[in-house]
Amino acid sequence: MKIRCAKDELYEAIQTVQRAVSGRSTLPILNNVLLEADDDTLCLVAYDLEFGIECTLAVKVEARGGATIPARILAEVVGSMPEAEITIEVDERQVVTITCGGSRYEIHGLPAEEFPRLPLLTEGARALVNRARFRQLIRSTSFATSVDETRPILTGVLTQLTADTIMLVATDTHRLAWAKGNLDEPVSAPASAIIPGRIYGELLRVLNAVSEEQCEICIGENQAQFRLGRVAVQSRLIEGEFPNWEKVVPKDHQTRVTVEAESFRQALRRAAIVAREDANKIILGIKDDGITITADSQEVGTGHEELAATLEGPPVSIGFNARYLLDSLNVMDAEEIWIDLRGPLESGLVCPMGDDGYRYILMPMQVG
Amino acid sequence: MPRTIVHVDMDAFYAAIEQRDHPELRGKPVIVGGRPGSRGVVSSASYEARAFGVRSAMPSTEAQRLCPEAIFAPVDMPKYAEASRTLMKVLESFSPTIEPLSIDEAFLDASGTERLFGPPEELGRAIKCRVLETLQITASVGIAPNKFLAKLASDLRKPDGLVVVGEGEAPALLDDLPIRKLFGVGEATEERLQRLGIATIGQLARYPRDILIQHFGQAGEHLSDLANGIDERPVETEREARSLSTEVTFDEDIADYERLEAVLFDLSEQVAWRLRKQRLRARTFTLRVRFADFDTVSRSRSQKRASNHGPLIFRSLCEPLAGLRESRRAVRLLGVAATQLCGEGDEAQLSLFGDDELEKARAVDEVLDAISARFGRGTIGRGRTLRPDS
Repeated sequence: MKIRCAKDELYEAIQTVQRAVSGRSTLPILNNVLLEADDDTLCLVAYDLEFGIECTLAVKVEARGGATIPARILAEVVGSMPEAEITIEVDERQVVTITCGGSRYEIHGLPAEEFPRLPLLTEGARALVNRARFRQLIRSTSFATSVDETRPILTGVLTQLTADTIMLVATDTHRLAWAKGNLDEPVSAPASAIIPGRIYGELLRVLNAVSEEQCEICIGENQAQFRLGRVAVQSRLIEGEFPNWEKVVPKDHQTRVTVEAESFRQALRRAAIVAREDANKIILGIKDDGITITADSQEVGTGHEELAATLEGPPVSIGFNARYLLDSLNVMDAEEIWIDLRGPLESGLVCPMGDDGYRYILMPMQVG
Repeated sequence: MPRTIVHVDMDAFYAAIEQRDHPELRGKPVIVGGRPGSRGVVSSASYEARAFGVRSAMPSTEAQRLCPEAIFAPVDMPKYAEASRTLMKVLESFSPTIEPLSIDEAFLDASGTERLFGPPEELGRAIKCRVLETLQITASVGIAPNKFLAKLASDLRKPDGLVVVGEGEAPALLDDLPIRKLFGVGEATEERLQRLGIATIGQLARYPRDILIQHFGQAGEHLSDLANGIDERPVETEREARSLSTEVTFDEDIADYERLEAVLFDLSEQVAWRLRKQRLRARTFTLRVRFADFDTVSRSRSQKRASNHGPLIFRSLCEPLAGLRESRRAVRLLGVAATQLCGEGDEAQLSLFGDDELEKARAVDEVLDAISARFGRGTIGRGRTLRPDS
């Protein structure tokens, strides 16, 4: 294999795929990036057997072929080269020679044939979604996944494609985030999958970095694939049954309070400073004339906030994890939000005003 | 200021309780444990049975061979647990700083109680007297300036002994004792020490410290300290403990990692049980492994959320244990410690899913604890804890 290309383009591609390099694999080759040259493109692949990224790049191909090379070395060597044309050449001994101007590096690689193939999907439910919309759907749900590895199902985001909508749900059993949006093109067949939250986190970076309008989603038997132009992200699916989330969505409310989102967020952030020493517990006092936020930590001291708000229904006092409330406020773009409550020990519902496509349900903390 | 550390160790606890409750067994060799031929082992043997060479953890069949007239009694955990609770209550009346070590032994820090209970000898007699009055069974008591010496002292005149080791008496007491009496010295270490010409604690105490460190690493330092009667470990009441741990030293080094895994499961359950008993959770769990050559390693695993659930502790420490498997090194001690403790009350967060797995796991824990509280620890466990020979 022998190719030539501009340093910055190559470096960008390396950085994109590098995210899928397993840092802790027992299989040494998974610490490598696969390079494959074909006619006029170079394809870079990193894959940790759970999650893979493939990125293709238009290059001058002088000899076709492939190689694998330690990802970190490749990234560091290419990243520190001057902005100029880089040549990568691989000989039959798997020595990868990287040259740029007067620099010449011969790096020991491993044979391309030994690199596990990304299981690219040929069959599955396909749909097209607007990139910015998909990004917001992921951003507003994936934070609510659980980090508890003992319940793998909850570390994933339920992703459902039905007709012309895409719906994402994540829960760690204390709170649940639900988001729904339209597809640009209806799905070929209804599909449901649980995508690891970690991989959605990586996909977010890709969604932020590329300029493509649309993302193609393909959900197969035990893999999902997200394609944005020359970048494809591949994820294994989490097997198992997602908890029955529909039954925990409150159907009614006693108290509804409407509050300006940004000032509520700022007040919560301040109260959280005191609350963090006390399991993040704050007390929301919902009254006729507004909302009070109280944080009381034996070790630190107390904090008190008052905000204007509109109340419908009886006043209520309820304990919440300030962090959980902030997590949702941080991803809502609405100017106003409303909170539905049914009593101090019942779940609350947080919604952005004027957006039917997002719901955040959280359980209170017991007070006293 | 020298401390007054008391070690109280009951004499043949289970067997003594059976003899107390069944007068016809008194003065006879009594073995509490599995029946001979049942693959069971000896849990506790009365001193009459010990005279025949019967020891705890010995297969019952072998015990019967050694002492054919021995009377076997089944293990009655609820009864022993009840006696243990009474014992700890009695001990608490002598000092609030009490560290239960097992069902029938505890450390007390009685520093500064002279005005209440008199000098150590009187304190020791008072403790023995009250234990006998309340439980009608005997205890051996050791009193010394530190835990190591106190534990050693309680063992010197068993049964029904009382040994007080004063400041400065340690060398005379330790000098001629075999190194085997030293806390943590098993067969392998004994052999290695003997190769250096060390047979008694006194010889070890006088042995150049730096050479011991060369041979045994950090453990050498510890051995040298102990041999010189130095032990700064405080008596830790569970309430103020910043960490909570439990460990087991094997009679014989174990290289079978499946067996070690089973022990790890048991230790995880024990730590979880102690956490729950004190309404605590821990964020970090540490696996401690001491190999046959005394080399000791610790591996910690932290969780985002604090827990007091045994299987979770076990799962988090399985991987570090598996990591040590490749070395195939025999293990003499396995321990599990919980740190970064927080109160259960910090976890007042309610759950959306009432019937979820977490809740189920918690419910199982609660049932296990309720049964243990009523009938004593060891009367119920998860399937994994049961071993074919127990």
